[in-house]
Amino acid sequence: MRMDNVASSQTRNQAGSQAQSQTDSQASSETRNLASSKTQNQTSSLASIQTRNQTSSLASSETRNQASSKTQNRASSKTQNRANSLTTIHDNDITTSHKDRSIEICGVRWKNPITTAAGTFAIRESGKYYDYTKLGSITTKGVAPQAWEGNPTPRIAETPSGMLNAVGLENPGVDAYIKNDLPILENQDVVVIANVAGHSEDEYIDVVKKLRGTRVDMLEINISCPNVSCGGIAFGTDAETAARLTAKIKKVADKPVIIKLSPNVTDIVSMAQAVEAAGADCISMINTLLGMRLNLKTGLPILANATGGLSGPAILPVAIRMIYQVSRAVDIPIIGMGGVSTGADAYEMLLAGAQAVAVGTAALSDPVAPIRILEELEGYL
Amino acid sequence: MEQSPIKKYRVLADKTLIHGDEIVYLLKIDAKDIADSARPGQFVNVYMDDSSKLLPRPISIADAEDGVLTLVIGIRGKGTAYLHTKKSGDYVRIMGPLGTGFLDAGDVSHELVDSVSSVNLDSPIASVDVTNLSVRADLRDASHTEHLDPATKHILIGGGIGVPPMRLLAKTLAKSGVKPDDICVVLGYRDEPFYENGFYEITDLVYETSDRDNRNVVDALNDEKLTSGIIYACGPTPMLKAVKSYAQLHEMKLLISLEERMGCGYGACVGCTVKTTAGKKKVCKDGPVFDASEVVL
Repeated sequence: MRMDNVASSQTRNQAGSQAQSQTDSQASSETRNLASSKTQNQTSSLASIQTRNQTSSLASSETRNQASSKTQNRASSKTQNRANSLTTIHDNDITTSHKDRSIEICGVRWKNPITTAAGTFAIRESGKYYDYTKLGSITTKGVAPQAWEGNPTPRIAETPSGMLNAVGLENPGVDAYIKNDLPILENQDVVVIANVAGHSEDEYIDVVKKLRGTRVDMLEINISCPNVSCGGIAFGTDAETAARLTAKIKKVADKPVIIKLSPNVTDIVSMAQAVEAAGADCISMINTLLGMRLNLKTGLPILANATGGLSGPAILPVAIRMIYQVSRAVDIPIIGMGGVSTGADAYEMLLAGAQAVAVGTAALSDPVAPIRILEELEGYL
Repeated sequence: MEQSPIKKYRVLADKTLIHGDEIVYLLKIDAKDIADSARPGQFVNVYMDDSSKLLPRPISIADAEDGVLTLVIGIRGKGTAYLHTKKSGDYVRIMGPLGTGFLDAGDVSHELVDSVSSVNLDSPIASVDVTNLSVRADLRDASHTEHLDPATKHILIGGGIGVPPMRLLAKTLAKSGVKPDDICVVLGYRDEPFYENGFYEITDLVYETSDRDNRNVVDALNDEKLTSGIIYACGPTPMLKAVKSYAQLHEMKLLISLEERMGCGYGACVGCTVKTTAGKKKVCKDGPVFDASEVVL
């Protein structure tokens, strides 16, 4: 009974804070309007290049926004490049096995565009099933300055073509990560992305400082976990807060900084633009969508935390839409994620505007999914 | 192509064991690699064939002999209801065996696993392939009953869907030289018994209890004065709590198998954890069997 009370009060708090931050983001309507007109402009320029994506609404927005300037040119040249690279890839379709699939993100060379999504990959456990050095990079589970206990169980609930999780970033802390996990990766030929968690600006910065000079190649800042009560998503739903954190992290980081965005916002484009303006080197998106399931017998939430993050194939269309919008509004690269379970899904995400793709929940349904998806994707590239 | 550890296995036999308020059924599966390396208390991941049901169902291993894996499954939701449609000749997708069982030497076996895997992780190829996994299982299998004290009484307690894993445990104890009189089996059912007959082939000391008769497993322990030896228990949490109190009262060692909603079943997602005296542990990997004195129930 007591746990139920706790759960429901947590829900109230979360709902409250989310509503608050949504209001905050609505308050900055100026930014948003700016962003949306920019998106339209860029979308229209895309339409003129990629016949695949032409729709009547895009075409009409093209006529509406003809008088646009520097931004549009920038976007159209970027889109042109992407279109070119896709075309080039198509031309090489005949030989699929030993081609160079490498990409460069923020100056870091990946063997191919596939990585793991944070929280679904564990070096020892996943490493038992496949050779993760074949992946473009590996993204390890979120680490905080100290060990976090995470949420009580149940933490997992299945949903149609998806799942909810409310693990709450259980982790052994950054010191244990450096001492126990990084040495395993020391002499391995793979790009390592550390996912960084915190309850406050100071906590994020503490982790980033401790990771200076380590084996880690890139940092992914998790400002979008829906399962921790303070910090996490609180940073990811307000553009100003996200930008301030990004700027502070950039000052102390010695590696490229990826900001992981939450889809639980009114306008993800303005979030992306805010962190780009604050100096983010890259964006990863999307984190999980906030959801809930109830137990029909008790009428209570299945998860002890009441709410959890929805992932899996169910969220793929949401991720595709958001990546499509954001990629046309920012110049920094995007690591796409959200429901990718086949090579076709990964290819679709690249087409939407991502430079790389992370595989998450699919690895819970099959430990070797990241490798399988990489091999399937090679058939498309 | 990296081979998926999930493989298709043929159902050899299917049988509904009880069909009342609760439905429990049995599947016998042709799965030599799993059956050969399965240890008592371990489980397998059974995968659905339909991508709308993403996650594996962790099912305890009831029996494993001559290349045949036996699973006894209670219907709890859509996944276990779907598996009930599997008939002889159908295929099921399974990964396993998984987890730490009743006779695995606790932390010692974890160190062994970790050292084996870290050796491989340090090698140029990061992965340990499936062949190495079975080598590892064999390694542990060869020694996992050696630490048993032949003079100890082994008390096996199963409650409801916690009954089936006790079968492989009883069988393994008997095979490793424990005398039938030193194996006691206490079974707790809500109403009708199921999967009870096999225990009588191993020992005469089988005590069946049922909520219907207002008698539970702890009543049986008290009635039979089973106050010394080691207890192994699997069942609902209230039963485990009651057995833990009993074990503490009589200063008996108690190993319990826990049930938890799992994500991956192999230790990657950290979805299933339990509070222990040594911090949180993963039910799927560090367990499902734990020393009850370490677990906060």
